[in-house]
Amino acid sequence: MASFQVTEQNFETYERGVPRLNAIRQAIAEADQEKHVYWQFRFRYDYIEESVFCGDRYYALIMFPELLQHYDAHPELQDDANITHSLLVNFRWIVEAAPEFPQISKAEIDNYFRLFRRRLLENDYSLSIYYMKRSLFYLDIDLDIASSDFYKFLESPLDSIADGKPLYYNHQVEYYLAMDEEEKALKAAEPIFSGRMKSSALPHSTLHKFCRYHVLKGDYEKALSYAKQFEHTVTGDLYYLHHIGTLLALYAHTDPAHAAKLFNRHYPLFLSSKNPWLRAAFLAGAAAFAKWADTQQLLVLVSGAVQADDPTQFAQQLCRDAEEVAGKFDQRNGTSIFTDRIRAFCAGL
Amino acid sequence: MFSAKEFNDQIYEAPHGEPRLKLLANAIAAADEASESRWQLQYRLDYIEESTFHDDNYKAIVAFPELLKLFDEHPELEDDYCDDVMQAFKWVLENTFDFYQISREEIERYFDEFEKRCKKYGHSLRVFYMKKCKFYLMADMDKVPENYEAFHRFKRGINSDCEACEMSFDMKVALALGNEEEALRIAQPLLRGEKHCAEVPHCTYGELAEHYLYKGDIAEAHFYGTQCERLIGTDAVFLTEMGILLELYSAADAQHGWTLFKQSLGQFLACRNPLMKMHYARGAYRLVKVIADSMKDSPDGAYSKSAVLRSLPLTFTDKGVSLYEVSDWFFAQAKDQCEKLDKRNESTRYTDLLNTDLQAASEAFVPEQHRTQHGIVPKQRAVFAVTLPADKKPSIEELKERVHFPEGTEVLTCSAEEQQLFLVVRRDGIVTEYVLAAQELPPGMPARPVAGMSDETFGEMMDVSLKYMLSMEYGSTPMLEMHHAMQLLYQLFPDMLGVVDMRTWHAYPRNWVKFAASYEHGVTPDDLFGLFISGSEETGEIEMTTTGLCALGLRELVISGTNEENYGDFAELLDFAAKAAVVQNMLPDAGTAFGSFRIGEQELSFTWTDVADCGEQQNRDISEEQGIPSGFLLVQTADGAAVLPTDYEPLTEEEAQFPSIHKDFLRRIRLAKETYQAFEALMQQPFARAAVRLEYRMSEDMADEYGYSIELLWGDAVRKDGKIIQQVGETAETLPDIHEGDETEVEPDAVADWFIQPKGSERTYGCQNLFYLWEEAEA
Repeated sequence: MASFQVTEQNFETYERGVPRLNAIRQAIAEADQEKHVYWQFRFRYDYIEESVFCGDRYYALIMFPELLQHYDAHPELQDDANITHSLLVNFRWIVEAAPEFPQISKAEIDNYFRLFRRRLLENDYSLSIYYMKRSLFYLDIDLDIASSDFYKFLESPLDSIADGKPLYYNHQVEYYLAMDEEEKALKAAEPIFSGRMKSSALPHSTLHKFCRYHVLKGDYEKALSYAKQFEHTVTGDLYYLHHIGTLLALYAHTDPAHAAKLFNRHYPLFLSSKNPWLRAAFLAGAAAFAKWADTQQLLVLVSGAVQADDPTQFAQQLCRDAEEVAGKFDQRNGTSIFTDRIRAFCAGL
Repeated sequence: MFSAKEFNDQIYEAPHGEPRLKLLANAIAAADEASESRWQLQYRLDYIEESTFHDDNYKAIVAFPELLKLFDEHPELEDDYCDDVMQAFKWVLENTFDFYQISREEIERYFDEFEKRCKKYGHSLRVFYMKKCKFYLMADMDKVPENYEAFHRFKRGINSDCEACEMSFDMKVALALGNEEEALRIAQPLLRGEKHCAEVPHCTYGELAEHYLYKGDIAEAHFYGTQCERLIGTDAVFLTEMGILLELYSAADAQHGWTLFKQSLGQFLACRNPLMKMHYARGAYRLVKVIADSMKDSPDGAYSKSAVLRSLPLTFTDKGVSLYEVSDWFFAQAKDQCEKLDKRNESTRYTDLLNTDLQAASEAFVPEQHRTQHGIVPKQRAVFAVTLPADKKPSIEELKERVHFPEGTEVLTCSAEEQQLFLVVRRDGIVTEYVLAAQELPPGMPARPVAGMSDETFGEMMDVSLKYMLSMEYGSTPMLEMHHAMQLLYQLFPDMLGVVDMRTWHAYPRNWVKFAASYEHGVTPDDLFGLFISGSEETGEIEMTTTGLCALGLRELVISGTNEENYGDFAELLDFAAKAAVVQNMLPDAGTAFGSFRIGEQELSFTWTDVADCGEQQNRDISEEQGIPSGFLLVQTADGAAVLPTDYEPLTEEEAQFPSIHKDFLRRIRLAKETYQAFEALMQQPFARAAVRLEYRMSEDMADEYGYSIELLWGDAVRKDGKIIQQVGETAETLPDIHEGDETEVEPDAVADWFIQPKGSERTYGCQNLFYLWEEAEA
């Protein structure tokens, strides 16, 4: 046991992302070999956490069924309230991550949500987080269901599985903007913008939501006022590729040279990401930028980071890729929201 | 075209209960018409939930068969809605027990169907046996043990009641089986507030109150009843508990019971749930009977002219309605429901309870001995005693004519009867009941003057024996409610000498009442929680106590050893601790942590210890010094070590971060803005010195770096060209472009604080002591 503790402490010595995931993978194999029930669970938990927060969530989705199966097979784990809590925290990440992969069908995601709900109820947790994540998923699919879940989320008490008060407000912003209710969104954002509510993802995530809302509406001046408040905190971070996508679309309309700089800096990150949702969001903005670049025949795309023999062809390829990945999401969701977003980003270019 | 979103927007903005049920009924009709099967199901589920948790369950029972039919007709929705439908089934199953119209055979059929479906969907049978056991608690005690055992044999499942509800149920069973000690042991996590839900511990307290009431231990019943009353408010879903309270107060405090009765009678009349009606009618019968007996020898006899009684099908004469008739009417109601329920249950339980005589226990009850072994003093009502100059004695009828509420206030009742002015108003969403009566009080009121009251005014106030007593109860927003009370008092008695808050024994002068009535944020926590500071000029030592906590039904706490330099920090600490206790509605047991805060990286919390324990360490006897029970506030570290705040070293070196500080800070800023007009007026007169604190917005980059966006800077205030200008007197590294001496025009919206010393005045006025501007007593 002590040696596994040391193993876990040593994870910190590895670089975040794939190197650390590999190290945890090795630890899982060792715990499995020794059939150490607790550490089999614990290392899988660590693996999922690392994948969610420092990777692209892809590996988390692969690992989660193993974690669940292991938990269900061992009553001694189920009897430990802390372990159950950890499982549910993991589950929360998974229901958020699953919709980001279009290869996971809507029926499978609905099933994940149902299972998550059951586990929450069985263990006497609030359904707040369930309603929050499900309303988020349904914002791209069915606004009726999204609104029903959203209001139930507002009326459910927050508990230790919930995302916390700052993200409670942040989700309200997401919802109200999706419903084109900017005034309500601004009111919900007030605790965040005043600095009273913070988290590692705030306020930049909230600022980004407003920025994207205005880009989609074609109000670039307002979008810029939000963009300059969060751009410096998200650049260079794999986790925020979707923010970069929005910025690319915005700058394609307002400052193409800056868009080119951003694109060149983040394109390698984009290539390394396995998360389709992040990729789609990045590509949607990149398509707007490429469309502008295509029409202007500007060669700014080619830089040390982006080696393209034929910039025009490269730009066209970006647009096709964007349409393709957006189409996959739309097909899964039975809507055209992802494709419409690309069109809105590109409008007027 | 059917849009669920549009319905959802309306439904969730409506208040719970009848308004929401109506909107849900509309949504169901629209979904039915559009054949939107998903929403036909969803809205019926929501309707049943609303009826169960915010109404009398009747509509849930009526709607359920349709829901089940729809669900069975749409197998494609089974995956999505199976769990929800089974949840609704569970609620409705339990609701059927309340309706004698549903026969025992039908209930058994409901149970069979529920069991069948639990098995079909792979749900645990735990909740099935729990509900079955619950039914047999009403109908057949012999069958309770086997079902209770089966309930615990199954593991929790998706359909299980929450842990708090299960715990409360365990307690109920233990009480029913005659094991009181075990019941209290089981209930401890609920009573300590560790486990709770929307109905627990509300119902738990109700069960315990009823148990002790029928056991004849009214002091103990009163303790739990008071806790129950704080939680249930006027929610229709707690009509059963309200009935228990009426029954309790018939034995413990009939006057208070009468107030509750008048507040809740409307809910009883609207209720269609026989079990709830039975409980309420039983309580009302006992209460009104006790009141009638107490009035029968009075000159007017046992009659009441109370307007709320007009809703009963009884005859009003010139004298009003006979309270014996009212009592008999409720008895008949209760008897009818008891007999029907007992007949259905094949039992005599409810009839037996109705026929139990509680009078002997009631006579043995001594109201002063409210404190129980739980160490918590019950919350008291707020009573304000207004003193007028000796020659002013307005009648209750005259006072009624003076009542005028600001726009937006809904007056539910305003009547002068039985030498009392009875007012029920709804304002800012808060329903408050005021009762005003004139009363001669003997001298010796232990009040002490606060808010700068002069000895002369105070002396005069104490000399006049006629007081106008305003009674009310604080809800969840005590500061706002006190502001409302001050508005009412100032309007009724503009020529008063002052007011004594009989819970804190603070005597406030007329000008303070006007101030607290004028500004919502003028009522400060210090006033309400009774932060009291005394000290010695020679040693610089200051002693601080939370006298007001007693007024809120909590123990008083003391911090000793603070001095002139650090007392500001401790005032915040004490204030925060007081509020943490108030938010929890009670002070937890000694040694239990409450109100966590942070110093640097260290998480700390407050706890308290009994004065005897701590006084021993300090070699002092504070209780003798103050003459009232008290405890010491302690700081507790994560490892459980507790010390006096003054002995806790880092507290004086590093700033403590209290979660609520920001809120209070903003409150003070709001008061500065509210009172800005007064400052502006004073600035038009000659003044010796004035200063204003303004909000300055930082650049976005700075805001990002520092994590906040507004700095507050003090500066002298001067008049220039008809404008008020701030000459910046301090700088901040977050505002590199602002320099000392810079001039900024004062915008009222940017004001965060101000003070001014008029020329020739020795006093400096600020937003918190603005009342000094007005005469203390102009009479």
